[in-house]
Amino acid sequence: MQASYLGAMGYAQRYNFPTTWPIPPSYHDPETSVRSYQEGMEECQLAEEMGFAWVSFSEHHYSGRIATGTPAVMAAAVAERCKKAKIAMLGHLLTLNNPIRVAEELGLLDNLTNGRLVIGFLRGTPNEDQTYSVNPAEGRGRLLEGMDLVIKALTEPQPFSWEGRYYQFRTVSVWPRPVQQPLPPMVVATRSDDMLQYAAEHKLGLAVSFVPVDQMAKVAEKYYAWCDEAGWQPTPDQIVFRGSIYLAETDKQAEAWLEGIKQAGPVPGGIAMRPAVSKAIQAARAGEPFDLRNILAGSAQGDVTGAARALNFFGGPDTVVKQLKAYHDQCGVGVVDLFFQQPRVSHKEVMQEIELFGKEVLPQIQEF
Amino acid sequence: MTQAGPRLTAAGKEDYVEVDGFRIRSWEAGPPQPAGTVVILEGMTWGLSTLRDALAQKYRVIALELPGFGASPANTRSQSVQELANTMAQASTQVVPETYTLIGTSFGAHVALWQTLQAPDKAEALVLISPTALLPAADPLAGTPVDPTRRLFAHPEKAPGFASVDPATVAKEQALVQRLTGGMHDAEAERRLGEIPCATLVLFGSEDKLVAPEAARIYRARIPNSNIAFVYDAGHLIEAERPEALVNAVSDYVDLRETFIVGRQTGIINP
Repeated sequence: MQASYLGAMGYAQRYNFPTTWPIPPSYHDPETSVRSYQEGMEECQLAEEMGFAWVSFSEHHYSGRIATGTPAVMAAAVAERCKKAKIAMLGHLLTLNNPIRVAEELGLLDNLTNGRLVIGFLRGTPNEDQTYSVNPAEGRGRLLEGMDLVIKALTEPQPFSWEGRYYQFRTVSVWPRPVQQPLPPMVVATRSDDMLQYAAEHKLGLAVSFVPVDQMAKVAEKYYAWCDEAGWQPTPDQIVFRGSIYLAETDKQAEAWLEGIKQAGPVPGGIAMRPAVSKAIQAARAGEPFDLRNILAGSAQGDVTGAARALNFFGGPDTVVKQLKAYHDQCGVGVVDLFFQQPRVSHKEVMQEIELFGKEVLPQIQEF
Repeated sequence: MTQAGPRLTAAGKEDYVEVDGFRIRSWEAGPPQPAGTVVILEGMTWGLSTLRDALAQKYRVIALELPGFGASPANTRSQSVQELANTMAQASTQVVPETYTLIGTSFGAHVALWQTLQAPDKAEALVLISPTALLPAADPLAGTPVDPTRRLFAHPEKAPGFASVDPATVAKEQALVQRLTGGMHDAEAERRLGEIPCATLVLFGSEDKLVAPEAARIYRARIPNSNIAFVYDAGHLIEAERPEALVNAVSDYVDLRETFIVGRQTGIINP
């Protein structure tokens, strides 16, 4: 098993954020922000030094929690500091973006890194749909078509037109082409059946985020079955799990940290929305009717829905190794993409965790 | 093999053209003051009038049925695709003395390609929809037992109402295509693509399982003034699965030729 460091580039004072999304720009202090990005890049560098095989980036908007709305820009900056690790775009939110622009960014990144790019396709959390006013009901269709279009744009050697359902481009001729031919490694981040089938049929890897191991095992089982049906089996580095981690010297120290967090009050998740908005998005995504009158009768204060993600990996090194091994053994995970920037964990503490992970955890998980 | 789509009864006039001893069925429609003339060579898609109807709003449209296809008797006389193309060139000239835009689908596109090479002064523009002339890649479904509908449709399960064609008609058409092409790549046509003098659009369904869409790049590389287009989520019979997209692309090209790439949709939301 290999480790990946999620370059979240979280804003240092993120524990002051309100619970709801989006985070008002008024919370932004330029000096703190500049420092936060520098610290985030230091974390990526240390992770590479400690043996992390990948550094990953994820598109999230309107929040300092994962402050990389333009992940390709962040990846390019980190790629100049990290010269060995794979640069994993996990990734662009295809439903929000022009797929041709995404293909151009990916092609350029693979050139800048001399073939160290890993590509991930994903749809994003429900709040992300609102960033560029995408109709949630069309998200799945846009993602499926967008993946086809990105792959075509990165592989077709002649200029072409694309007559899609959601995209029409009469001239596509992406430059530069990827260094890795025919394509850089690709994974699809999903738990949905249709996307799992798409990944299997196109011989693409699988990425799953934040779910407990038993849930991931069910997803992986379906994916493996469809891969088998398509006549192939994925390699370990094509099965990626992204999880949250808090690593301490001992289990006892980790418990003490968690107790402190609980006593400090609610953890600001930063992706929660007012219930009316949340329900409207979910209804649209599911293709169900939505009656606003039922919502207007609700709380005028705007109770929030959605909670902070649970920790997938928590404890001292040996405990975390066991937790990681469960994902490996039960799901076939070959790359674990780790989100270290937990609430109320400082840059200094993250650096200590990375070093501890590299010394105590990584050597053990590399054995399986 | 099935034939795609309901047989639409478009408002056109059917007639026959006598050429080379063949009695070729024709269909014609158009406005009183057409912007030009379009000739469509049809094979198995005879009766799928979506494209015909759309173009007939603006153009004089003449569809010609390839001898040996559809309702015509078995064609045992044409000895090559080139010879059949020569027959169709004569038929086209009989009904359209002036120049025209030539459109062909599937094997009809293979014939249209040769017709343009043999009568280069007649075609103002050429549109090849899922052409079967060039087969550079291995059969996409080689070695696997395949339901014939999978070769024609990306989503056969989503194509209810596509009636089966009389097996005798299918056998007749397949025998002719096999006799004239051997199911082989037309290397001579590929070699001569550079001689095509007119603006050319080549379209493939992104999920074509009869001809690998990678063939498109050869047309784009060899034909001097050409564009290629992929119609997303369509199989070989694009007109059956993404008719709106096909009509949109082909209509734009017939209207605008190579300038169809210029964006014309407004981005204004609230002026």
